[in-house]
Amino acid sequence: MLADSLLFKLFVFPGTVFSFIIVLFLFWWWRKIGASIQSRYGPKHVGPAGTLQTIADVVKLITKESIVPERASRWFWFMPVFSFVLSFLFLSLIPFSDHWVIIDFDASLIMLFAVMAIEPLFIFLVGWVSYNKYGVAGGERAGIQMLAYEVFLALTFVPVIMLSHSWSLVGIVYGQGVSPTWASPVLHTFVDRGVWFGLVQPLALVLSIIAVMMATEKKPFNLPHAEPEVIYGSSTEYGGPFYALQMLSQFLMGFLGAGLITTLYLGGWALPSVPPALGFVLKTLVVGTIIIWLEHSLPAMRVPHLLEVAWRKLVPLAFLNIFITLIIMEVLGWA
Amino acid sequence: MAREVPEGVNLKEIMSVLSWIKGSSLWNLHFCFGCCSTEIMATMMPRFDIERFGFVPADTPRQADVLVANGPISRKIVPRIQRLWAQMPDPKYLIVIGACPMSGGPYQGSYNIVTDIRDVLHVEPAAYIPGCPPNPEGILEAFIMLKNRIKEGSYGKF
Amino acid sequence: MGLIKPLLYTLRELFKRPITVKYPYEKRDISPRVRNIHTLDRDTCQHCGICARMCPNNVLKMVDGYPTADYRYCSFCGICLDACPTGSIQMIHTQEHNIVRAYQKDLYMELLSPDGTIYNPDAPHSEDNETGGVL
Ligand code: SF4
Ligand code: SF4
Ligand code: SF4
Repeated sequence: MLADSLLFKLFVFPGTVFSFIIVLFLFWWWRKIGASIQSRYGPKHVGPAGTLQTIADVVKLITKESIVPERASRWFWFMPVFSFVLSFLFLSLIPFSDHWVIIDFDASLIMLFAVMAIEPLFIFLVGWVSYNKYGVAGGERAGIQMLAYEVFLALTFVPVIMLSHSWSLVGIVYGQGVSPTWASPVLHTFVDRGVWFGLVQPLALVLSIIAVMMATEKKPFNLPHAEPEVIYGSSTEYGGPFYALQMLSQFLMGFLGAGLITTLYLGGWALPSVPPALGFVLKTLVVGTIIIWLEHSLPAMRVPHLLEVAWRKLVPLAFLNIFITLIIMEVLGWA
Repeated sequence: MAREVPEGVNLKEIMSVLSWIKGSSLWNLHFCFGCCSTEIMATMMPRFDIERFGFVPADTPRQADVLVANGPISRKIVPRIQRLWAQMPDPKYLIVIGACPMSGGPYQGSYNIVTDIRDVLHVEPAAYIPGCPPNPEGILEAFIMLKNRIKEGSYGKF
Repeated sequence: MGLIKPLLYTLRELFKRPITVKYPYEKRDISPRVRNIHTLDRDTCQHCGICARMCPNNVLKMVDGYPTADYRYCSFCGICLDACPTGSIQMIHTQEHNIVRAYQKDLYMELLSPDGTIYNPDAPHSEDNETGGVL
């Protein structure tokens, strides 16, 4: 059947077409939420409620002149494409439901972790090939930020793996008790081991939201793109179609980061009386909205601050969380 | 050699859609070197909210469509503004705000002021707003005028 | 605690009505002291030229006995109003007179009539029709 084939998955539903639509929607939604937090309207007059605004932006960027700086490397053309492909790799690992997942195998969590670790390297290379000092500085900051979040992100994965006995993302969602008929997640805590891990792991949930905000460069941690310091970080020299690609992959990464939290802590696609994939998208959008709200509320951090908070506060907290989980599992006999 | 337009393709309609798109998303480079920039900030802030029309401030000149020139152009700022203008990709537009860039305004006759921005950028401004400084409605009006002219196709080309 | 306060604040703002004035569709009330564009009562003007001499920016030039403005230079300060002995030069403070214009050879124009209309539409230096104009 067509809808079951890998090509359909790659190019239509979790793949290309769907991700373009969700990215355009998310861009509009990000601007709208940000605007209403600042007591203004945001995009309003282009299309109904400004919904055509992001399409106009992207088409305009594509039709603009594409400038390659004189001393830039010839890889200048490819780097945005590579980082876009990387975010597609990320997309292919996230399960939209047990059926709508492109790649799933025993250790997809490790694979996903590897993809997240490579991403800052590409951000750095994007800055490096453009022969711009702000680009290089922004890329270095992306590397520093990776040093900050990578460790405690990995440590917050550990309790989830212990609870679900699985390294695969689909397996983790199954570990949270997926059955279409279940009533209340709180009830399940006492009946069965089917429970959203966010409810038994609130600390890990908070920590991984922080880590995802660092990984996708949201506001308190937007060091690689901080406008007052490094003009636009690694993308300083990119305009026109290159920048359109980068913008799209940035928002796609934002969506997928929220999707990762949904998968690990909020029960994946399980939502009563809603088709699985739609349930996943809805939950992810709720998580994304919370991240947008946090992004527009908090002031930016400095580099030394970031490392200090990450290594002195968040890493010990993540370790503490593992120990608490171990003790509780031992006491309750959760196996 | 002129290229043939394929059968069934209405070039005029495509162009009009494209110019509607271009006019609806003018990202402006706000390079402030004068006191008028406070009014530009007021235009971007919640009270007038220029983003309603899709005119957002761009982060770098590579992503910008409109250079918003404001303030007196001293001889020291000339290389910078020329460079910023050269860094912007086509199609690009210049909007002049306030008395200073067009005439020197209160600083006219000073030894270190370039009195006319056209002498250093060699372009005609797309819109000029008199005032010292103009009010935010005036700045918004200039952007809307530029947008309407792009939509009609009477200004700018691909 | 310091982290919670801004979050609650922004959450409250999120559900409030925006304070934006949707400008081209609705206009704000402007202060009566706003000075927007000159008008000239040609019946009472004495052709004395004091306004042109007092102007700090050399905006006004006397053409055919009446002051004419080059709006590239004007800072809308209102000194010419104070200087005029007969009070024939005045300024309108309505929203409709934001002037936005595409650049022309020079922005010389004759001052408006007291009712806000163009005094002499056929004059060669007040043309600007398709490229912008008095809004
Ligand atoms: S026109 Fe007036 S307000 Fe604007 S920059 Fe010049 S002096 Fe400042
Ligand atoms: S308002 Fe001020 S600058 Fe303008 S013409 Fe009058 S005196 Fe000159
Ligand atoms: S000062 Fe008054 S009366 Fe004298 S020329 Fe100017 S407008 Fe006319």
